[in-house]
Amino acid sequence: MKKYSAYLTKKKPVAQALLDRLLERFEYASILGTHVTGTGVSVDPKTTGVSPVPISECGFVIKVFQNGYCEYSVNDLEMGDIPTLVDRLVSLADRDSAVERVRAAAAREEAICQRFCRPPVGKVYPAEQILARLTALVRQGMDTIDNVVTVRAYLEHASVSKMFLSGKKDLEQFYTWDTASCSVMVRSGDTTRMAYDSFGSNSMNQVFSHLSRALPQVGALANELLEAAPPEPGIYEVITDPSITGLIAHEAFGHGVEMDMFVKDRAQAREFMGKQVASPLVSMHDGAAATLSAGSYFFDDDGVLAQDTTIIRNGILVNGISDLLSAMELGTQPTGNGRRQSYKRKAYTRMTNTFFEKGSDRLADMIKSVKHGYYIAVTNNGMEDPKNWGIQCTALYGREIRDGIFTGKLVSPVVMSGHVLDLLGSISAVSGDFQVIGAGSCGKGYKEWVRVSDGGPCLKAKVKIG
Amino acid sequence: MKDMMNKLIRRLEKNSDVSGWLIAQEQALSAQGFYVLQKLETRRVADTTEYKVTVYRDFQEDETSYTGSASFLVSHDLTAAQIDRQIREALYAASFVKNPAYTLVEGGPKKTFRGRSFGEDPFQIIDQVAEAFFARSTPEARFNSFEVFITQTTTRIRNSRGVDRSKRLQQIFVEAIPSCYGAQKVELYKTYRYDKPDREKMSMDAAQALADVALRCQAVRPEAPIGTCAVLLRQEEARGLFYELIWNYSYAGVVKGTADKKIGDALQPDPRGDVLDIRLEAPSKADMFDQDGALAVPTQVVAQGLLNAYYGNNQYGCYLGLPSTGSATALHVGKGRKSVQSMKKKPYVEIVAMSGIQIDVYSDYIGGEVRLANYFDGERLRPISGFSISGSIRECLKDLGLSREGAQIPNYTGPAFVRLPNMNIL
Repeated sequence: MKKYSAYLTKKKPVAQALLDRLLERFEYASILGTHVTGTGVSVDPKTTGVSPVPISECGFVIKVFQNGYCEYSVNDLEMGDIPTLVDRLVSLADRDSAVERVRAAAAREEAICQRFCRPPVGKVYPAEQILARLTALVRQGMDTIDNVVTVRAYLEHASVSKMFLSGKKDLEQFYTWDTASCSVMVRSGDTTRMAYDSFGSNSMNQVFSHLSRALPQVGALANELLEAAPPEPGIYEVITDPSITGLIAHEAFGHGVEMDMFVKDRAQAREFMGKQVASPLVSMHDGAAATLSAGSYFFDDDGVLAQDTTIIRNGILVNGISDLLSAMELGTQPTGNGRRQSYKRKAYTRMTNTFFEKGSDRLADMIKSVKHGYYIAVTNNGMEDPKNWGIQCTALYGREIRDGIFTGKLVSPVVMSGHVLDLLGSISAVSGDFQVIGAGSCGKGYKEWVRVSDGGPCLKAKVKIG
Repeated sequence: MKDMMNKLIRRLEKNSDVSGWLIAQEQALSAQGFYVLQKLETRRVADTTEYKVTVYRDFQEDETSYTGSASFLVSHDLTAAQIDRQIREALYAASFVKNPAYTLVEGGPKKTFRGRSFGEDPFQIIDQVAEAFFARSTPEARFNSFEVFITQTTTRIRNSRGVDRSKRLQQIFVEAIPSCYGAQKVELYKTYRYDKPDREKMSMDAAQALADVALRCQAVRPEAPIGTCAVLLRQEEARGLFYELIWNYSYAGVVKGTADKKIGDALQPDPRGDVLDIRLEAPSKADMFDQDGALAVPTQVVAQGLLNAYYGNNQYGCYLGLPSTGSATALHVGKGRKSVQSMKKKPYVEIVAMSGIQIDVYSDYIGGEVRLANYFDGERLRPISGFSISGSIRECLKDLGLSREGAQIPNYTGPAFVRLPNMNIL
């Protein structure tokens, strides 16, 4: 799909007719239509696959307010379905509850009618050409990487169309995003190691260029990791690469300032608004409009326009991020962070593109200043604990630094953990580099997965490893 | 989308370039209740029917036979012409997918598997679940966030070799955040899956969740370095560990060369403790086939600490000449010799909640940040928090302890406790 969904265009009159009927009965009603298409192509030396992108979906969320919110998700809308859908929503809204309800108000909206379009940059190659290029890349990897067991390459192109209709809003958006990844497994004797890389862009050519550059480096890293062992547990000075910087931003003060967590009294950050939470060197943002990456869109799943929210300014916590419902309950302005895993799920406050601002330190000087520690790189995963500010970030590897010089020794994996304020307070240098990695996804707890990006500069901090 | 299944089949069978096809229909009805500070915030219903169509194309090139495939999704009504176009596009893509030839799962008699039906109005059940949990709360400990999903999913798989299998699964999923307001404000993250609305079981789970979070309220960072100590994992973390241990021994792992052991090789070289027996079975009597329509074949992957069998799906099974093990994906792990009581005689750290257990089999690492644990130093038992554990999987497997008491949670039947020796506590 290279432009806004013809299916959603065809269904708009049906959605509008349904909305009109609902607005006769309910104080607030809205309809979100989503149509996400695309193809993912995977190649390894033994098999290949061509499948719909995992985020593929097509459906509608119908939301109404009557002393509380009710939603109905369906995969299609027909004119003939309208009476039944209205009846079902009325019945859902009229139901008694054995449990007391939250006191809520109908959403107040400003009138807006707008169309947004962000087409892909350059050519979008068809599946057979993607397959051919990935196959050549994998062959090259198998032929040139020492100790190679297998190489895998994956690329997907997703086209997203969304429509949001309510009493005052009529919004449409279309955008695309490409993500790619490669991984290399090597083996020497009984030792097996794997390294990987991922990348995202709205230009498929750029994604291919990145993959071509990245694969030999990933192969070399996998071979270096053959000698790596887990680090000796302890407290270390570390320099984080932009992916780990992003992971820290995401886990430390991304989840922690999702304001639906404020409503649920699940986030300690609420009590720290306006207070110092990090080194004065640290400023941090989130927003679908904060940069162009995997978490970028024009309006969220509540029909709120995308924004760039400053979360931490010079170490002071200044803002949280919110979906529409949470902002209403807190009496704040929504920040365009209401996102759904799919049309089948509820909207929550979710991160988009989350990053630390760049600083003015030179990376080389930062490395020189480390007595004994590690340059930590390549995100594996992370976990947050917004109530108690525990944090866990796992990196693929760390490069040992002694007296300001790389020793050549690698450790893997590197599991950093500790208290958010300790970690952010320990940041003593922020480099002038800046990179946002647009190929991530994030869950809330262990569910509700959405596409996100994160990143920033390199940081120098003190952390617990092991 | 009336009769979409037959419409799709008719179009697929009209196209002579289609060597084979598979259609997965998923019909889901989900009732969802969302509670904030123990009050109802939102009710949702998701009522959806979707199809995934996979088109196969057999072809030869340089005297090698290939089976290519590509898929598309159908979520709304399509005309015959639209379906034909989707099939043509998928066939075209499949003609570039050079997977070694394989055959689809062969059909038998049409078969339907049905799980227990709850029978009641799902929102009544949601009310009952919420009441069962909230009834256990106190002024100091409550559920600040609580979500209930009651989902009935009917999956039907049909393919061009005569497979026509259906299963209806019904499940209650609960995500609960017990929170405690005491010496400190703390919370824990809990999820539960129920195959029936068992109010008594829910009430017990609620009480345990609130007891755990009350314990976290009292927990402090260890006042002195613990150094190394045995760690006791409960069933949730044990399940994660055992899945990681066998992850590499799938048919796909063997075909791709990523499996680092052969049948008969030891997962536990020179064991001094309990030896592992790990079997895979269907998750339930209703969940009896996988996405290819292949029936579950119980498989003893690890026997007496040795790799006994590989497991996997139809495509990779065909490459190895082995039968698909279908939906046999639930772990059944043999119990050990020691009682929990005897495991708890010497110093231990019993994990109650982690941020997420980190296991890297290749790097021989197991560890992670611990949110709550019970620490017994040989004299005193106390709750501790805010520390991490780490250790070597190989060393753990040498001296592994499996409790003789069992436990059952979704996808896991096995020892209630697993003892890992000599873990670093930081």
